[in-house]
Amino acid sequence: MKSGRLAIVRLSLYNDGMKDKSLQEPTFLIMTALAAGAQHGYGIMTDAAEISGGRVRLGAGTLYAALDRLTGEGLVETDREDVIGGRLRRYYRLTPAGGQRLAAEVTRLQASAAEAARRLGARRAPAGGLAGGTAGAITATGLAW
Amino acid sequence: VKVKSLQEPTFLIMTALAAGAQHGYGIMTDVAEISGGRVRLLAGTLYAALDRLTGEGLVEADREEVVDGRLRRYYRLTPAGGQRLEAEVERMRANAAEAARRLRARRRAAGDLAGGTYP
Repeated sequence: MKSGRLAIVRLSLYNDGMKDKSLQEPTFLIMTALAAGAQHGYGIMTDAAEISGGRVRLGAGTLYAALDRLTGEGLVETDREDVIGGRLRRYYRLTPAGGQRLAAEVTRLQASAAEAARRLGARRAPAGGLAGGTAGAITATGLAW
Repeated sequence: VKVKSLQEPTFLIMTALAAGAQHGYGIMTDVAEISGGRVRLLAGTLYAALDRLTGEGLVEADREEVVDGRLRRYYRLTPAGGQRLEAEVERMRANAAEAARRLRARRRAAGDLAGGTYP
């Protein structure tokens, strides 16, 4: 009884911490793969590879561990199960909380990217002689912001 | 090119150095500000990250000053560090745009199901 209550307290502390933490990219990609509709594991893997331009290729172990964790956090849930060729195929979907968490992450990414871009812009045009004037050596690499 | 995404503390440290050199304490306060108070680096985390980034050629020592008898070292991004940060900005923007596109599709679908009352 007592230990059960303690476990609940720890879990809520853990979740409070997780709310503010940025998502690791594989987690972000899995949630993005599920944002517009349910998918099964293999669909998530191919979609995550496509979204990331081939940079991120999830191993099955990584994917299912992440899906278990996201399910435990209430961000992902089972949508349905099909039997295909005698094998069980499980579809996953984002929960409403998962959709909100992903939307918050999009906002965070956009804000962080904007601030870094602003400072990189100042670096490329160091008219004010910032910090000893030693920055600004970077050559423009042609990224248009 | 397969480049791993930056962990958020690393991204924030590099962003803190993007416009000019800063010393360690300046980086710590700047990182807290950039992240809206979400990320507060401990000194150990910061200096381990700066050592690692220096080893990777993304950050370098800018200069050292003696303030009240203590050595204060300033750090700056290298040109390679600036390019790495630019690539990360591009990655973050692309990821955010794709997720936003799908979340809009999700809201449309939910709105259709709920007769358009979904927020």
